[in-house]
Amino acid sequence: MPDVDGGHLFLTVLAPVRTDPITDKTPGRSYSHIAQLAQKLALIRTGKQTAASPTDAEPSPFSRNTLNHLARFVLIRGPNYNGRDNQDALLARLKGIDPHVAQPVDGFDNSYLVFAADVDAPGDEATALRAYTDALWHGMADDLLAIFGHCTGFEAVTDAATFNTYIRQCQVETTMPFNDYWAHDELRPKPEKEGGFDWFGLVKLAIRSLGWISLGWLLALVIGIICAQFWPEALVLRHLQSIVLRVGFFLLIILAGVAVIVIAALLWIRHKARKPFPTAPNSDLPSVLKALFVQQHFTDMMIEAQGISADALHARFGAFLSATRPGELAGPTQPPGEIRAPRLGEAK
Amino acid sequence: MSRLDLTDIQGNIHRPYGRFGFPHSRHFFFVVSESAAGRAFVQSIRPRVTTAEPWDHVETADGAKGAKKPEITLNIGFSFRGLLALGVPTETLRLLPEEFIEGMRARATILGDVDGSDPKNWDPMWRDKTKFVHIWVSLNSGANADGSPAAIMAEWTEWLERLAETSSGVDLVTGHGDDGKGKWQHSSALMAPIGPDGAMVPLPKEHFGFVDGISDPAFRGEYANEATQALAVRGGGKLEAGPLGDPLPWKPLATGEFILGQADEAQQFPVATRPASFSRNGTFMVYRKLRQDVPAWDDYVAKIADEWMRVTGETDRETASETVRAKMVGRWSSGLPLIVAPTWADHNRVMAEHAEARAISALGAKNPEEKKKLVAFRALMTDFRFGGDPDGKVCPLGAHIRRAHPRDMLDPELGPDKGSTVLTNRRRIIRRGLPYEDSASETGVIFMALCTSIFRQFEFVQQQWMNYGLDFDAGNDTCPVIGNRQQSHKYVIPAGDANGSTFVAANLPEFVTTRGGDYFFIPGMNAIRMIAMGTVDPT
Repeated sequence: MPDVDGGHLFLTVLAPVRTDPITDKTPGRSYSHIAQLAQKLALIRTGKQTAASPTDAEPSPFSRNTLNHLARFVLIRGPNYNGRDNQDALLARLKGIDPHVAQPVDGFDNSYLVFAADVDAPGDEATALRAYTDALWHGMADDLLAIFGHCTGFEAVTDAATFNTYIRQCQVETTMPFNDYWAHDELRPKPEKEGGFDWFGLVKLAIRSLGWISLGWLLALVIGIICAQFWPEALVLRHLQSIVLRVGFFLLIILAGVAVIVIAALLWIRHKARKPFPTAPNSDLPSVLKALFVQQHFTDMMIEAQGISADALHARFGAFLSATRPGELAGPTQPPGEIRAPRLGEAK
Repeated sequence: MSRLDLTDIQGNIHRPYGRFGFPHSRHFFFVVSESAAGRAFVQSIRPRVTTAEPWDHVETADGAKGAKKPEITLNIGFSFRGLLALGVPTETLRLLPEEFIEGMRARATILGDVDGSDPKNWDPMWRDKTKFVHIWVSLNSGANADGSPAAIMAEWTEWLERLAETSSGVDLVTGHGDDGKGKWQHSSALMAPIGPDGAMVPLPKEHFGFVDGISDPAFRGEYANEATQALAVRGGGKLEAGPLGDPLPWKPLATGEFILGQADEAQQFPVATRPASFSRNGTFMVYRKLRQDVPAWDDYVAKIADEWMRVTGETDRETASETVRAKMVGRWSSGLPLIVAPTWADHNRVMAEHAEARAISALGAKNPEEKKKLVAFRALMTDFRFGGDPDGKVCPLGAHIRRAHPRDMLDPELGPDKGSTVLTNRRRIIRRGLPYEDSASETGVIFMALCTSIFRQFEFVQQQWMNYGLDFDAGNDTCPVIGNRQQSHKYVIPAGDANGSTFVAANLPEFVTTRGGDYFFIPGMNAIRMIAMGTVDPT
């Protein structure tokens, strides 16, 4: 489930990097797939994504589609676990385990290329993934071949369909997606009513009282047992003992009831937590880009039109609307992968 | 009441000297070419270093109260290159924080020192990328009746110059000022002839005309007694949740935010090097020479006041001009916060109500009654929170003081009784310094920030709060007063009592540009001895 949340697909792909050497014609100059892959990744164009990008920077190949909000490659080189298995010192001693002897180091046999992306997913996961891998294949097949070509099993990829199959084979579950967890009305904390009844306080008081009563009962039981040792024949004690036992029975029923409620609440919370977060309105990439475009030009217009007469402002705002066409996603907008909106005349 | 070993801590950490009767300051920089000579130089200076010891009040023969304080103060600091040149061992050097190792020039893009603040525009002494200053020494002295520095300043200046001249391995770095002729950097409080017989009296103002240095952080162990601490923490400490008033929601900040070797706000010991005795009771200092373009400021305020009158319908020029100034800073020129007095009329009313306290403030309180009035007036300046103004209708979200010390406003559910969190409490800096005037056109302020982590405290405030606006819902907008203009040159003043609709001040020029500076380590007295003796590693 966590692969899709808030209307976004959080794709995590672990592709094993080939371990066979790339042999060069000149003996002694062979090189590894991972070194070649690292070099290719270092050369991917990053476009005009930051304020420091040069104005003539080439756009990132990922900006050729309007689906991904973020894409990232990472190389994991032979991850291993060199910690020790936890064990009880006394038990280990009894079992005759010598702590001086090193335990085997656990690790992967080869390196992995991690590909992570945050993608618009209006439908189900499989459809969204297919739409995304198709968009990638059509937009940057050369780059994909140069990158994933260093990964095991990629030889079989020849078209969009086999690329999708490959990605699905290497996909792992994204257990902790990072999303724009927008606050919609259902989730917003409800304002506390002034002078309203303090239910939370009552529950706290009930739990605390139950705790104290149980403790008191235990104390009575212990005192009863001790007293019975000294005055085994006392009638008063017998009566008291029977009262203590009966109270204990009731307490047991109450505690069992509380346990049932707590377990049910936990199950309910777990069930609620598994429900994907709803899609934020206008959170797909084309809408985000359009919003950025309109915002920047609106700011410029505001500054320019500050203090002009109502009629002039009306005309100026009309000109702004016809130039930016806020309601039309297909109208002038900001290209993906760039930090600044283009000037009005230059926007497509 | 926790007490620090104040005699081991340098005095410039605890005291803004300018406010203690030392309105004149001179900053000297030295390079060390031979480590033994450098250590001998430090050893010669060491006995004259001013500590943070309390300046107890003593009663003079005529019953007046006076302070037992030195005639002149001296403090010393070392850059990373300086510690290297003085022969501090590698084990100590390699564990110092990386921003300190790199120095201020290398951090230019982080600090927003671009465009007009680019290091290539700094004073000649800071420009050469291959040269570094090693030792910073500053003197602070009193003033004569005509405003000039007391005679002792010249004596000590001569002594310092001779010390470097006679040393075989230490040189005074020259090249201060835009002409590069200065041998040291002079700075002094602005003064006015308002004393008895027309004597010059230092003013707590900076060149743009604002009262400065109002809200410095107050930390545990800084004060001699509970009463002094209780006064200083109002507006200076950390703000806890709960209403203002009695009991005070202000508590002193953890000592480790400002003094190394002490626990900080995260209950950790700030990152410092080995051995512990080297960093203990020391701190880091940012020295920045910040040029203030006063004509550009005045022109812009005049221009934007015109626009303000045109847009808001305000008819009084003074009101418009004072309002746009205050909206940019968050305080009126007098220092009174917008939160306390949202309009110019409110300001004038509050100031009139406290006229007596202001007079007392200039001359000092003579009795408990006067002191009480003074305390009430000072509380107005510092004891406020932004929770009542979540949309910036009174004090715009991007105003200088909201950026510099956001108080409670970074609470995700800002309301009338929220406190400041670690987001704010771990990003406070002690500010020291005085205005400078190299020439009529070269004016500004020598700004010094003291904190235990330049990276976490000073650089964060400078990069994220002064030169960016996201934490204040202000996008790319930078501080309207000290920000650079690389990504944005506008400032948004939300609609409020003073303006019916949102007002945008656009085309902001660079008012404040950097002219040089570096990062320095301000060791405790014991560590200065270790450096001078060459025994940081005694083995």
